[in-house]
Amino acid sequence: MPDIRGANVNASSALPNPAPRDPQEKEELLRIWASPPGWRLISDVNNRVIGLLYMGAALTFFVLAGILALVMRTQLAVPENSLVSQELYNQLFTVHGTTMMFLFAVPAVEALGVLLLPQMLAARDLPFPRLGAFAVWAYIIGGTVFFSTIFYDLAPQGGWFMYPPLTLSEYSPGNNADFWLLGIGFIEISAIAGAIEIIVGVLRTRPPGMSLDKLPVFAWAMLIFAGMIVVAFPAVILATMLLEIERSFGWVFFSAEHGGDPLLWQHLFWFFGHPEVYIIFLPAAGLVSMMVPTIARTPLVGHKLIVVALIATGFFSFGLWVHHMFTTGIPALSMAFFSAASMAVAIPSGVQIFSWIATLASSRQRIAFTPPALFILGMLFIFTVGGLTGVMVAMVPFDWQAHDTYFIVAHLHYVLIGGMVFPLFATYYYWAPMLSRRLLSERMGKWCFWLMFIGFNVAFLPMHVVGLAGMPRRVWTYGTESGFGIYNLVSTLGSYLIGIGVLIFIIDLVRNFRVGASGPVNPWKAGTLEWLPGDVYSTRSIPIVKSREPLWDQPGLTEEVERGQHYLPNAPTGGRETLITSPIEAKPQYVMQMPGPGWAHVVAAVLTAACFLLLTIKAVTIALVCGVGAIVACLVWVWELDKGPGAGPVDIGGGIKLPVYVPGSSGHSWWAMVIVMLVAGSLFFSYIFSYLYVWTVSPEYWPQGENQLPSLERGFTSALLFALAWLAFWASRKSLAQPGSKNPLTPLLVLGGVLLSVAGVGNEVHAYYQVGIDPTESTYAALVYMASVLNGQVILAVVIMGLFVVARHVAGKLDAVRCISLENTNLLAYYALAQALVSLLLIHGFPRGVLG
Amino acid sequence: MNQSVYSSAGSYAETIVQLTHIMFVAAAVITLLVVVLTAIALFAKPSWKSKLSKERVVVWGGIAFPVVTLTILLIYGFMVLSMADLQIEEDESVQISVVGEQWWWRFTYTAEDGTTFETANELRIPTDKPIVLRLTSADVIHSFWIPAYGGKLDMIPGRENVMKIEVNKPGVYRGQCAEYCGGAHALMSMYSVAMPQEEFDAWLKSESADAASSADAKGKQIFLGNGCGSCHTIRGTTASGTIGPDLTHVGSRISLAAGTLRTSKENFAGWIANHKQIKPENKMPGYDYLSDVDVEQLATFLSELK
Amino acid sequence: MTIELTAKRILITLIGLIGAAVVVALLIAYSGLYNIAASREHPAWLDWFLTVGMQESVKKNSSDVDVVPWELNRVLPLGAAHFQTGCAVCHGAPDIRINPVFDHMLPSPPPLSKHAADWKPPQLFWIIKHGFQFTGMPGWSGDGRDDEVWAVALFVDALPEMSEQEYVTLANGNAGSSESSALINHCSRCHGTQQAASTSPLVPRLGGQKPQYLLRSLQEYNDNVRQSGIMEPLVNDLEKADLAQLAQYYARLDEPAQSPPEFDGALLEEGRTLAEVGDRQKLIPACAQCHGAASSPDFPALDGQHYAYLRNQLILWSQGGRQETAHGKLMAFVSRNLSLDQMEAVSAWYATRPVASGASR
Repeated sequence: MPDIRGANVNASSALPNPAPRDPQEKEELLRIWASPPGWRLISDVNNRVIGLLYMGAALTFFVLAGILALVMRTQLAVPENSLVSQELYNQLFTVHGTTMMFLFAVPAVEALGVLLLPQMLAARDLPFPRLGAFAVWAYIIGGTVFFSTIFYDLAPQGGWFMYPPLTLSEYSPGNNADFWLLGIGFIEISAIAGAIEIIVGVLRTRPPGMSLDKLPVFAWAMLIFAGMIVVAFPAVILATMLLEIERSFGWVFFSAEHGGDPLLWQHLFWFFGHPEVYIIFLPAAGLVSMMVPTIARTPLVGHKLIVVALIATGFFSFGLWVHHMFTTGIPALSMAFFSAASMAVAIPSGVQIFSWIATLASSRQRIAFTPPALFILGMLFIFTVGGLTGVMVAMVPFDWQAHDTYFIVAHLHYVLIGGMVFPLFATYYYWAPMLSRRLLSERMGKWCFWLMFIGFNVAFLPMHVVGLAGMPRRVWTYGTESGFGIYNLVSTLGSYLIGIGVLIFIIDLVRNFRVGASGPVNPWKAGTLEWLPGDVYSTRSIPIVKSREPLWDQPGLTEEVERGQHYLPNAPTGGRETLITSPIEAKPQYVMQMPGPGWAHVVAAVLTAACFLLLTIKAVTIALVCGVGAIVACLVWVWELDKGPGAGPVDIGGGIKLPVYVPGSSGHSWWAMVIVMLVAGSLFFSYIFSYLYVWTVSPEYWPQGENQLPSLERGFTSALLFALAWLAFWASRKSLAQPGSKNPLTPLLVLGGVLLSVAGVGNEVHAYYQVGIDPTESTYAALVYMASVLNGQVILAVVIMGLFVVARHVAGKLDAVRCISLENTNLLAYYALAQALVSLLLIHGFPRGVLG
Repeated sequence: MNQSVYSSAGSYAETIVQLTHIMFVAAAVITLLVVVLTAIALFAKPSWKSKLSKERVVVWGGIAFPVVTLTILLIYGFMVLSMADLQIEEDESVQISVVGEQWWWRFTYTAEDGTTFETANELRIPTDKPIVLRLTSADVIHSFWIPAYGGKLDMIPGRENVMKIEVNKPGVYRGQCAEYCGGAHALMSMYSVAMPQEEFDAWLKSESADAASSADAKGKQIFLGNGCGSCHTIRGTTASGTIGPDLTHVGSRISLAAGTLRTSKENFAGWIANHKQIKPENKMPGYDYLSDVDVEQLATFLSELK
Repeated sequence: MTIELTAKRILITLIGLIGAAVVVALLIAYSGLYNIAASREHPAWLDWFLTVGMQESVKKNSSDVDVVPWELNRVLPLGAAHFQTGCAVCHGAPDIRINPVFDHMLPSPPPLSKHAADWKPPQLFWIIKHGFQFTGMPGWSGDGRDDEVWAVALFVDALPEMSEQEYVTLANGNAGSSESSALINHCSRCHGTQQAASTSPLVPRLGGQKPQYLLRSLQEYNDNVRQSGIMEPLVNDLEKADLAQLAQYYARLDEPAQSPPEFDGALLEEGRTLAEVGDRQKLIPACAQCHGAASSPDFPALDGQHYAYLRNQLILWSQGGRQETAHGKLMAFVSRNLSLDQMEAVSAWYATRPVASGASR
């Protein structure tokens, strides 16, 4: 067993690799990390390529959704306009909102993470490059299909929040609403894949010496961002599952006449939807906290306070969701609680704003008004106003008036455009030199800023007024007598100015953005690692980090890194690799072997998209074929990931020899699997919430006697099956033979575990069916079956992984040392079985407990 | 026809207006403060700047200041919130049931003799008397909002939300559905007339009575012969449908089609002929086969239902 | 010399082959080499190719046809009567030889008394609904009228087993039993007469119906707005005066009542409620407001109408088969919210109402 506590890095001693390096090493690095030429670039996984693709796609969706906004603004410019029909307008605002939230904001932020994090951490790449590439392709295909529905009248019309019962098939027949659910499905997949990448990336691929207190603020923000995705997205995943199941199969969850509740959707949606706002805002705030010190040429004032503020925001954001529901008639006490929490979240924002002001004030020279600086100042103003109107709507009585009016439209755009879009544009101007051979034009950047800033305020400031004058949201027209006309006309003119500003930015991009390695090195004289010179392999060697701004505090670092005098200046395993360090102190632990370009993940993404799409248009057979194809492609993709310890241990410099294969809880894939379990657990938690919530709403639908319940014996049988399955998986790990031999028991135990798990779920479903529980008859019944759906889907994953492990055993790629495939399978199996056991308690125990 | 939040017709709406003013002023002051501080950070002389560059600025400005102001605001807010729950004796109030439908409003009143009767798209209430509105929905989620009465409340299928209001200023106020309810959501409005008690009593009496129309009006025959009565009720005739709005006194209402058109004979005719264009996706079927003369007579009949 | 197989070379070869095939096809078309005369048989290989292609296409395309459980004795009279006027001329019938003119088509229409056995009912349904390209076999002329197609398909399916006597009885229906004109006799093959009710409960009872409604319906068939593959061809050549004559004849006709099936009391009660009150929850207006005594002469009376006909028409409406006419749109609006149970309940209610006699109107 290799030492996995991590090697000590002696920060005060000489360089790890003081001797001059062989120039061949750089050639080899370039060769190993080179992108495939021509159209084969599609198979690439390098974070620079994928990140740029990701960002480009997100920016495209921003422009497209922006064009939809301009169409809507044109329709509203004058009262009783007939430019756009009612039906099209309803589609426009649905697609605009959905695209901006799901296809632009979250992906744009993830794209920045993919692009910037490895550079800020001086890692060669993110830990799961193919997963990242898969997520990007799934997102691009899914997003494109979703967006294009607007062109052939298939776009959803339920608003981005898709409240049932309006979105149930009774009131939204046709496939339109299903396309919304499809689009969201893809974003859910790619967001969670991205979150896994980012969490493991931030915690495990930091350079030696970069303990958590030296972590750049953006990395902190992304870590919290990813953690929030893990907790928040499952709620909307469950919500969309329930809605699609109700639409397709008639299981009742949201129809009041069978004991469902339309408000269940709102709780689940906003439990995701409110954190979503902070999911978008936090990384942007993190970026500002990176740029402000550079602009002021001084460290951030109140760094620790900012980190605490970010964590606090993430934490508070889960306690606010009900403030979207103040007008639904919920009890006054809960309104008071959520009102207070909604105000409390203003405090961390205040901390950040004052910290930025203080940092600017501590600058010893005149601030240069470059485009990034201008966008940040613009953000300061806009976001402050948005935050203050946010406090206003947190006041329940005021919200009763302002809710669902243009006041809210104004507020949310002040928060999101101020809190996210302006920082994003600052980011584009600021970090472009890292990727482009040329800087973007300063003159055009200033034009872009002033047009967007003035345009924004002209467009959205009047909306506060017209909202309080009584104009509701999501209206395609308004009467002449209403008096809303003049405000709307001004807003429309302002929106055109924003459009021109964005157009100038695009022209600037086209004229000046040229991807290449040899851009100006550190043009802003910043202090963080992403400004080290680099190429496709990231940095030549991985530096020891001794401060928060190493480039300011460690003189000569740039040259040392470039000369290969820090860690891992070469490719000792002969393939792609990066340094894995310990999560808190960042001590080098092992060298991770990474996959390079490949086609399997691209095929998997395309087939996944095809599967969902075909399901949406009810072509079930071909959809299933594609689904199976997607799974096969995934298996092909992961087949070569478990490379084994063959190439190690390797020397990374400074007298440190590290293994290249680490099973157990230090491995990066173990971490990833734990995050997957957290996602699944969060999904299941949302389910338990739904079950208990619906029970409080309509307890009369719960079984009134023992004879309506699945029998206890059946429940115990299931429990026994699950327990035996657990045992089988546990024993399979113990049964592994030493390298070079095989134990025939191993595959039998794995298959046994798989079969027992499946039998457990089957036994449950049959037990429900036998007592006549019908999911189309009541929400209680639908929720009972839903438990098995959730258990079944995790167990299906275990089944596939189990068969994969058996195949590896047959191929001789599984033994007591090379065991990560089996360990990860077992980890998920333990989780699945634990979840199944908890669900038994809920389904068999809870109704009996209530019956007394 | 005021739909503004500021056109408060009752004391509670007035309280919200005060809250709004206070918050607007405070927000403006704070915005100004941030702008000034930023300007100092950018342009002021070094001694001023250095005062602003300390971590305690973050602690005082970013934590202490918001905690204090927000706490004060929150306490004020709770006070305003608690005022919303009017204590009302059942028999002293006017009870009206309101059902949101795609895309109009159904009101059910109780007449003096205890019987109930329906009207649509126009809420008439007496001033200086507590009103209890029982809100629910027949299909999807709607939201009942008359800004002048202070605040909105959602109408949710399977739930009954209760809104209590008291109005002091007589007048005509406009309201609109505030929760997106599909299709013609933008055209789901209503008028509310707040009138002194005596006027209200008189209105209640006349509104609960049967329709006043001559038995042999040509328009009436067209109305009854073409099945209009299978969706609409005109009390006093065989038309007894309950799917669409009650039309017993439709000619006396301010608006047609839930606040979409002014009531007039011409608009009745225009509505019958072109309602799919005027209010797209509305649930009334088209009567393309009716001749212009038929439509004209139908419009005359309806506009005379005072 | 060996040639390495690369993706690029394979691609170029493929493109070349496709291009060559296109050139050959164009050459054949423009040179006029192929003799398309129907007066000679297809060469054996082509005959084999076309037959297999046709059979497999029918099998593949009819694979998702849902079989509707029609009662045979209800649809056979309809199918037979239509077959007699529409199909027998090409395909023959037990008492009719194929007209020699059509026998000289290529491919020649198969005598169905024999060849219908080659197909299963869903395949017959698909063929009758969609027809065949390049053969002279037309698709069904009434859009959305799968019910009619089924009637003909099930009849054709039964044809090989049918004696000449059975066929003649089915195909002629009530014709000849009346003293009226040839025109009326034509209609009487399905519809009721003074002596007999209509040949199937799927065929509406017309005797005593409102004349203005009858005339409107005939006119709508004639204008190709109301869809029916059976009625449209029959009224296609009729003049306005003929239509008026038919409407008057049926309005005055005192047709014997066909006794309705027995219905459950609860079902009838539900039907009555729907007819008189409607269902507000499901946005279903009361039927009686349009179909009652005071309603417009353009709206049909329903009392005593056949249960099977009413039920079938309501299903048609809910599936969008009768929404082309201005009045049809009104009814389509009502019936899309009706559940099948409700359709049956309300059909039962009207079927059991006493019919007003024709003479009294």
